[in-house]
Amino acid sequence: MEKLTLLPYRFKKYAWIGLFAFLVATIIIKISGVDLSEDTKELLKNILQSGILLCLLTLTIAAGKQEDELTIQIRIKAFTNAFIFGVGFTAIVPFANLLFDGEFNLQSRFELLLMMFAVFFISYYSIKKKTE
Amino acid sequence: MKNTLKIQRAIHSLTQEELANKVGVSRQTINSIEKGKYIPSTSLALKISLVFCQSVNELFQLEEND
Repeated sequence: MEKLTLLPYRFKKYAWIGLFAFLVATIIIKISGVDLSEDTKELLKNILQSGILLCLLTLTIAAGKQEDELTIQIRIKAFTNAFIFGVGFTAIVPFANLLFDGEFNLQSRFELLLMMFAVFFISYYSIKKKTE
Repeated sequence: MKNTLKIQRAIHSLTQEELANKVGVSRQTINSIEKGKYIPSTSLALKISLVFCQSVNELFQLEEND
């Protein structure tokens, strides 16, 4: 089986630390009620969202403790499921929004990517559980 | 696809972990192959056949629905 180019296992730890830090920062900003200008708020929101997405991406492309052909196959299946979900969601949601809200638009790219990551992780761990 | 991995392991007194180390995969992968939940790649099947000194055809057999 072809090998996938993945980040070393230690990147998983860095990604978890980063994800935790970004989530804590998001919560602190939300509950602290600091008076920030709209531009600063938007900038902070974009930085935090990008940080969270980068950490999640690192988690998906970092190798597991023991990576072999079975885990590669599971990873490929999970990536496929996430891709199909992402395309389906992008194509269908604007029509659903048109039907219910009267606007033909897609939710934010952040929400779409978060859901794609969720589909990846759910697929990965459920397929892994099934094959064990 | 059925296989005789478990029997061969018993004959050669190998644990799943030991076989996994010999062929360079995880114990879970060997377990999945034995249970028939995962069909190994040609290279892994060949590596396993080398460990047991048997041909791949002797270790793995196609079933009717394969």
